[in-house]
Amino acid sequence: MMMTDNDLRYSSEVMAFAGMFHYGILGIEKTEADVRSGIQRVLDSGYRLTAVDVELIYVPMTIDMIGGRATVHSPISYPLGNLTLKKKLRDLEDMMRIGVRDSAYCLNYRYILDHRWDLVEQEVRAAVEVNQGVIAIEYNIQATLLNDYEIIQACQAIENGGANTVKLNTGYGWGTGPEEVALVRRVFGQRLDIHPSGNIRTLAQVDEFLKYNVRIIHSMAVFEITEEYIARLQQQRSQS
Amino acid sequence: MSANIDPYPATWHEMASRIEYADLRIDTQERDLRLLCLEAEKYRIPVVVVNPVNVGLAYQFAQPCGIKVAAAVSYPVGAYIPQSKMVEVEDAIIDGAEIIYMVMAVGAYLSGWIDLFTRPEITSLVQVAGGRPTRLITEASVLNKDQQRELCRIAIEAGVDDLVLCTGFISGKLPPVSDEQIANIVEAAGNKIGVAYMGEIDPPERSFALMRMGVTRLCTPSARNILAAYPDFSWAA
Repeated sequence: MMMTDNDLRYSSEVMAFAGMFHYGILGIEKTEADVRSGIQRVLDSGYRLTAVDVELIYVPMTIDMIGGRATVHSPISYPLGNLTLKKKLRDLEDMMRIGVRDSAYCLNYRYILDHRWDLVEQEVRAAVEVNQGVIAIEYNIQATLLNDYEIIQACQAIENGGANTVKLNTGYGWGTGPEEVALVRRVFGQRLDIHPSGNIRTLAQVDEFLKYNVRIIHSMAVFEITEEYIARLQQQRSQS
Repeated sequence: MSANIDPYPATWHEMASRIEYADLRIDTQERDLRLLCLEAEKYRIPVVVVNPVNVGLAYQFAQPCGIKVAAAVSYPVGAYIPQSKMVEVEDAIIDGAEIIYMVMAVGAYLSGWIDLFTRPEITSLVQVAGGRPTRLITEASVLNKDQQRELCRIAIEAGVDDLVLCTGFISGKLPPVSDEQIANIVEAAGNKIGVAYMGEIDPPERSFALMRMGVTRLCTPSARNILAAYPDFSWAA
């Protein structure tokens, strides 16, 4: 029996593919209308994304609107990691209280660049202790600014601090390269979950990351990439 | 030198007094903060502007030189509830900040949440700052003319010292603030509130144009180049 376009679009294979993604609606200029429109797009798509990423002020309305179809994500000290630890932990507590269940915690990059691995570890441990596992947190390093040694040391500090997920870029301006993912995977094996982010716009880029057993990808182009994926499946099926 | 690029204000000393020397980068290191303060002292720039996490360290370097430290609260996105921002202002003051920059929740303002967010956060900023100079950062390029003027009014009513035209944060998404937008805000500001420009200024002569348009203060990492554009400026100042 022939599979229709719609069957393929909502097949378990495509649903699983789309389900890897975070969809971000972040930025200083984002309005209530922008966020509502973005969430509606998610709902209309029929896909169950990993998470929808919004600024903290839009979390309550996002939770109402998304109705459990995706986890609500809000970042901490995004994108510069430049807020004080006290402020970050307070934001974390606020997020736990209002229902955020996924977050990207931007570490203090000065500590990383100054090689203060003890302070990086302390920051991670403080967040882990406040969080108590309530929110799935990926710890954000700006790998583009770091050499291989620094990437490894930062990841080691994350692991030593009691966490197991690293997001390799904020997605603001810079993007994650497959070589960075490969490096972390080579050194840490499966002990660290790796989240690529930033400038991920095409299926070809996603394919590269999947080679390294990445499970979660952050991209504003999730719907376009999923369309590419569907088109490829259609082509493969028409050839077989 | 054409009239347009003649230095304004006339002397580099005067220009330096209107600059607040900023390092708000993601990759600022301890040595950068030290250099920022040393250069501020050398070039007679009265204030350095840093991210909240760097206020305490910058204060250690700035205080012996007589330089004031300004904190850029909620930089660069500002999308936090007012209460959360105020705790951040208090923390910055405890760490040594004598001037408070704060990014407003621009998206909330654009959403019409003026009574829920905009007025409370601006009023609270002034109250919590406790007499310290306050500078409210917006992104004028995403506001229409009426919104720019309304925001000026709200900031004036609250007693903010300066309205800052832009974050200067390079996202690649927002257009730069235009001369027309600057002129509109300068006119609305009158002499009731200062108008500041934040971000890199390149070429440095652009700083003269900004000042001629009525911008009163520059919060910028480009201080060296701006001052070097003065014929009488000496690196051995």
